Amino acid sequence: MADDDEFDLPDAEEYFAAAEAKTTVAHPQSSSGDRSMDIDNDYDELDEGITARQSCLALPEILERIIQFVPPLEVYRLQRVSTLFRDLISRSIPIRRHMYFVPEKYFVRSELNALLGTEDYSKLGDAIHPFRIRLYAHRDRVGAKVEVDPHWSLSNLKCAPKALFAWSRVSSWATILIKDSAGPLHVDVKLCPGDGPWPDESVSQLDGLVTLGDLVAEAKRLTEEAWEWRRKTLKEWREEDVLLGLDGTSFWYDDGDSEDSSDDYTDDDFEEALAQLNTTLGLRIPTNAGVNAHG
Amino acid sequence: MASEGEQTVKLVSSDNVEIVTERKVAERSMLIKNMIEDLGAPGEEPIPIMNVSEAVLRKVLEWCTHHKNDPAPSQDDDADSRKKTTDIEDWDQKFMQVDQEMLFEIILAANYMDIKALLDVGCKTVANMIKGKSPEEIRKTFNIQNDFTPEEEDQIRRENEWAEDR
Repeated sequence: MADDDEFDLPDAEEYFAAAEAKTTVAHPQSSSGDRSMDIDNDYDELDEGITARQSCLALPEILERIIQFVPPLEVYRLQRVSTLFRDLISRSIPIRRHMYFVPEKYFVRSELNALLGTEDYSKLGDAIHPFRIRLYAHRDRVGAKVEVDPHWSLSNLKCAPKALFAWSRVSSWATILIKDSAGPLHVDVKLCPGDGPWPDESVSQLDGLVTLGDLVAEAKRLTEEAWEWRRKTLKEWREEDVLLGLDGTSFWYDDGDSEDSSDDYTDDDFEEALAQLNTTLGLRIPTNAGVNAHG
Repeated sequence: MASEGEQTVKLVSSDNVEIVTERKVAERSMLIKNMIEDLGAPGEEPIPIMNVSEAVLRKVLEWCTHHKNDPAPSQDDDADSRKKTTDIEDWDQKFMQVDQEMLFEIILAANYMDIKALLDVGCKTVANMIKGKSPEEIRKTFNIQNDFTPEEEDQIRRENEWAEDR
């Protein structure tokens, strides 16, 4: 049974005030010799015309209990049944917790990768999934970890930029870390740097009732932001002749002793790869071609 | 004096029908168990179960009789039940093969009488009826009115589009 303090229903006050009155009646947690008499009087006031089904589905604590036995992803769909379902699902902490909970043994990678629209690439193997997302939840905490492979798209293209980006060491993955937070429904989203040029740290915070959809959207937004940052940085490096090449484990920097550079890719290759990434992941990273067309 | 296992209690339904049952059976209900402890002298005073009709009370007691030897529920059971599957044991499945109104009557009675295990069986049964259905089918199944405005419905559809058909 949910604790009373787990309900916070300010927007449905009127509806739930009535339901709460009934809930109080139907909540025999404490007992005393006189309590049965109190219950009798209260129940006499229930509308006789209301069916058991209507009464049941109007009691937040029962509906909450029912919904927690529905598979997490289906709960999102349940929000479309009625305003009562929508309001309860959006405001019940146990239900929100349930919506996050995915047993470790099922590991959410494949499921969420499907949400990210990358099914076509799964045949290429786990190692090159662009995103890997783990969600976890227990009684007091909920969190998620989104790992982004910065090289994924480019590494599968037969074009020169893969010489720059392509290697698949796990340590090179940038990580969007959705941390444990004080409240189970407030998560910090962090983009932590992997190898290579990434923002030092990109942080955003999702407040309120965060859905898987929010996490996915935020992961995409951060990825987009990071790619843009990376693109600009690489361009600056190239313009300044700082970046000379890459040997698969590290970037080469112009330390002043190098005799020549090995710039083996072209702007067109890079733009083509970027456009491909945008199309595949539904991102909106501007390409030079796009900028020029509009500018 | 009869031992606790042999003691009986008198329950009175909302339609004033007296039902005598084993104390052990009745005490699957935390409401009744607490009342007996508070009132003392079980079996002498009839215990009013004023929100539960005779038909529903007999059905609930049938469940309690079958489960009278189950371990007593602990504080952790409520939290643990969330982690369990929605599987329902065969006997309980057959027990719940009743018309929808009776199913919800049983859930209300289990909630009122504080029988968490029965409440969970009822909630799982309803959850199983919900699974795999579209919102429209759920409304039809449970006769729920669609009270969204077209704008609200459109908005919530868009917000949850990503989770559809998964």
